[in-house]
Amino acid sequence: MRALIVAALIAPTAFAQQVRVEPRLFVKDHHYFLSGGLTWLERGDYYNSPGAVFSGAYYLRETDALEVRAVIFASWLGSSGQQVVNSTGLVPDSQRPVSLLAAGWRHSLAYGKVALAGSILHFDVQGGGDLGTLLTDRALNPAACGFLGVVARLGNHFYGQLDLALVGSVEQRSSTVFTVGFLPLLTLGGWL
Amino acid sequence: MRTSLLAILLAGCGEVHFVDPNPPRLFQAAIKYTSRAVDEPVVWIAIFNLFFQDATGCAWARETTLSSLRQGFAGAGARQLELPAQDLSPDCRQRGQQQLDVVAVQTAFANSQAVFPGAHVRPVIVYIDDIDLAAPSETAAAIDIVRFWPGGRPILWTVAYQPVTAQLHPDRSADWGFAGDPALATRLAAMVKADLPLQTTASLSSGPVPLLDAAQLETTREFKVCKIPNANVTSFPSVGITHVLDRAHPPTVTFSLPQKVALPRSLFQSSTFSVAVEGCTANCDRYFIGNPGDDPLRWDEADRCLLVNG
Repeated sequence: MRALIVAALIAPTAFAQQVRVEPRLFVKDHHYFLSGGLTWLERGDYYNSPGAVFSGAYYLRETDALEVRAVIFASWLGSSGQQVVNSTGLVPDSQRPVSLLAAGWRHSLAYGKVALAGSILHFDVQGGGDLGTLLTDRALNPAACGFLGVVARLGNHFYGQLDLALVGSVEQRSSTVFTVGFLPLLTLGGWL
Repeated sequence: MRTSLLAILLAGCGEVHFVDPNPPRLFQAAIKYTSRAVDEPVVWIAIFNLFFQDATGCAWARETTLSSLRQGFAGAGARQLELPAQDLSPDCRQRGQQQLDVVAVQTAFANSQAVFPGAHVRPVIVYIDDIDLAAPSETAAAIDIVRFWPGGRPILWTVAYQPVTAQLHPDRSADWGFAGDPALATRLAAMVKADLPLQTTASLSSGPVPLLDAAQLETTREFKVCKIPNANVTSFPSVGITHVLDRAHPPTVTFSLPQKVALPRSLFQSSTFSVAVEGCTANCDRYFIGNPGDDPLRWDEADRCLLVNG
């Protein structure tokens, strides 16, 4: 009974407020998105593998895009591996990553916005997959990526993108192995 | 099921092993030596003990049978000597009519030794009997005496019926058919082919057998002997030790060979010995890793062969 009375008092106030819906600012449909940034491949291969990444995507519709990525790694043998090399002359049988070329598809899972430092940030939560090749110091290995990421609008034509990807590749070591690595990619770019 | 699948995935997910970029270059070699045999001369004697109700064909039967024997022994090689046949029933009227002249037979055996100096003469006695009854005991005893002639342990063959064969325990036997049996020569030839000429080990030692062939000698820097027969080896490099190859003195192994003297071909077996060698042509002091994840071993410091034993 008490609840009904409270609801009756509040309801007119609520109906009196104006509801405003902000139009979607971060529109991607039929736009090209180009970006560049940094990355780091971590796959437990005794190599430190930071890299530069270039990414391009074309949105066929608001939620789906075709994309290409190119990553160039500046890999070197880590200190623990180097110590073994120096003391014994033995080297890891893993291959040193040189570059990754991949193309695939990305899909928007959700659109959202968040108030951040006095402004509103519009973003997409996205996921997707790429197929390509991981070029190493010894071979061209088939590779596949799966990722989950965020694409955020930073200005009228600027955006930032953070993808957390898992990269799998087939590699010939002492035997043929399937390797999996973690590849976070942070890029900044613009759209046309 | 899910756990095993996960285990397989984790095991396959990019294990990294350390490897030697310049591993030792190794090869395996197996040296096999088989002893040789020499043919001994064939010395044979026929002992007839034939009985016919109609004795008129006695001489013919004897000659025909002897001819079959000669045909059969013709396949035993050129170095052969037929000793004068003995006839225990000269007119084929009574089996064992005459006693076997043991002294004459043994003398003939001894003389045959002189015909083939240096050879191991082991005469073949062919006893021919056409009666389906055991031979007279005196005959059997006389055959036993010449059979165990100490000069060369003669071999006894019979051409007879089963009671005689069972009585004399010959080394080989052929069934008696009938006088003038054309198949007798074939049966004898089969026996000759199986056992003659008798075989003797060619030498008591293999002499130095090279462990590496000419091409391997050119490229090998170091080597190890992996495995050697437990016995019969008189000279060889130490097993499991790294030897630096001295091309001026190539490594060899010498086998002592078990001597087999004048054995029937069917009983003679060549002796075969094998030695396993592991050679290194480069980077002999570098690490050998058998399987991914195995401990690395410096090849020249390991006290065993690594390709063979892992």
